[in-house]
Amino acid sequence: MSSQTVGETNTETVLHTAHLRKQYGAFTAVEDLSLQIQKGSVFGLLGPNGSGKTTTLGMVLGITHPSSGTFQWFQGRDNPPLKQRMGALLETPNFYPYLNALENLRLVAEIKSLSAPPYQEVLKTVNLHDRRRSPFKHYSLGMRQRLAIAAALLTDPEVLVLDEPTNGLDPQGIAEVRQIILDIARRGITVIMASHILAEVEKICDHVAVLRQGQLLYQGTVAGMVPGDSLWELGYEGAQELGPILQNAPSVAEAQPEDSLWLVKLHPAYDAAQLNRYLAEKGYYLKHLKERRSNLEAEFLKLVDQ
Amino acid sequence: MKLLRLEWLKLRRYRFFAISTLVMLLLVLLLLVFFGDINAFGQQPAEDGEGKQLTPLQEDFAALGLYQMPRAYANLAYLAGYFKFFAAILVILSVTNEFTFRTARQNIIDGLSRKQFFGSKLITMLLMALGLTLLSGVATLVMALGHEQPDSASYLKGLPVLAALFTEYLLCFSLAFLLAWTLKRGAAAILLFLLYYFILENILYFVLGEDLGQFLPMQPGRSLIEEPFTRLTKVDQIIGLAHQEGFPWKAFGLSWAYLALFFTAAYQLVLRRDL
Repeated sequence: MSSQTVGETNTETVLHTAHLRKQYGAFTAVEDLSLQIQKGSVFGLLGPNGSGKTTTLGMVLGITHPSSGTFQWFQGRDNPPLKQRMGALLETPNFYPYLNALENLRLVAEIKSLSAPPYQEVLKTVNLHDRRRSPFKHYSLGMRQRLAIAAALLTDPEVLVLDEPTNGLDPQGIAEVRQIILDIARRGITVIMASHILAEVEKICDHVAVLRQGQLLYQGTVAGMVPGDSLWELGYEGAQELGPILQNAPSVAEAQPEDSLWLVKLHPAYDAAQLNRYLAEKGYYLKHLKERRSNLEAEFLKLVDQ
Repeated sequence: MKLLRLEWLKLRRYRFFAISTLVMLLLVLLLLVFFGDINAFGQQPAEDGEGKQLTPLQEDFAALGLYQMPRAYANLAYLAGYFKFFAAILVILSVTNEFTFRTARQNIIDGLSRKQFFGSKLITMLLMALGLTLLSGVATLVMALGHEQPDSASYLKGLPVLAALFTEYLLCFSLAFLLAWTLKRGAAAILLFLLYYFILENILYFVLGEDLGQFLPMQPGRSLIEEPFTRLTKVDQIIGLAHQEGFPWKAFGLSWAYLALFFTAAYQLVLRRDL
């Protein structure tokens, strides 16, 4: 794929919602939610349980009727039909327990009117090929989750919608499912994933929307969730000597000692290389220079607890 | 066709469906074939005060004309009608399973429209009613051919009863269908269905009286096909019971009105509700 087509496809909006709202009696599950999800991104819908993630996915998947607001997939382009270009699962993997993996996939293919679905291929992708003839009811939770992903992949989708894909899995299952999702994303498929686990979103997603009690708190890149003024750790043989130099460095906004290190906050206009060069010119050679990202978990909690 | 294939894929491996269909078919056939051998007046020959046997009280149903055309259709249809409860449970489960397995929402997510989803269940129900009606019709034909008949024209004369039987099945299924969509839980829907059919409506009928009671939803189903035994045993002549001759248009019309109502209600529910 040439870089030009990448540039083109990146501009397409996969999902756009405008002021989506869902009201259950007096309870507002989702409030005025406007999202913009670009093609090729791995988009995380992050929030604690009950923050409206599943309700939001339910609305854009046609399961739940919005109380107000609108949404649009692929900028209204519906050829081939939307559901043929999308693989999606909501909450738990839902299959007929008395049917085996192959039969369940055949049903999905029938619904999507697929002529020659790649059953074997998708079953291999999710490591279920050996168990394809066992009934679904005998599957472990991890296998169920993987079958759901297999079903979602049947159409060779442009977008994959997942809801808490690692919920309830053991560590090995979590690792497997995450790896599968990353592999899928690498193929250029847009992934929209709801999760309440920050670390998961951080590991898998590049863009994120943070929800709390149905309200959108943040939307943007995962890196952007962290305020830009991160701290730098500076290490030098004679740590005390560094103090006055740092006070006078034009790039330094704030400097304070911590154990044998100095913690430095830079002026927005400067970067660490400039500071490093400045110190070297003055004859101070650092033995340690490391960015200390402000803790994502703390940022997330700060957002959610406001 | 797609919807039919879909339902077939869902049901063919569903063990309860396979077993109960088989059992139902067998029972219907056994009943229709062997009912003729049952003594119409109980096992013990009736006796008068002096121990002398009274005739013709020992005759079985076949001898009384159970399989005689043109009434054979009606006679056997009345018996076959009892199997609607069995089938109604299947109708309920075919709907509520989709909610229990949460496959209803997955079907929609995968690309079925709500209309198609509803349609697939409607087709299943119609086919079950049609299948049972045909079964009863074919069994009647076979049994009638095995017994001497007045003329071949009488075979056609009894046929409209099958339309009534089909309607009776559908009316019963439609209530089961609506309850299934409303309650989404198999056990609850089955329980409420049986409770209403056998108890609640009878109480309502009693409270409302016959004039109003005849318009209760399941009542037309009960009068679509006339109970044949009083006529067969000639008890009707003894107690002076009048028969309804001709096709039961009133019950038929009322049934289809309820059918339209129940199906529309269920459809609107599917369209409007969050799954």
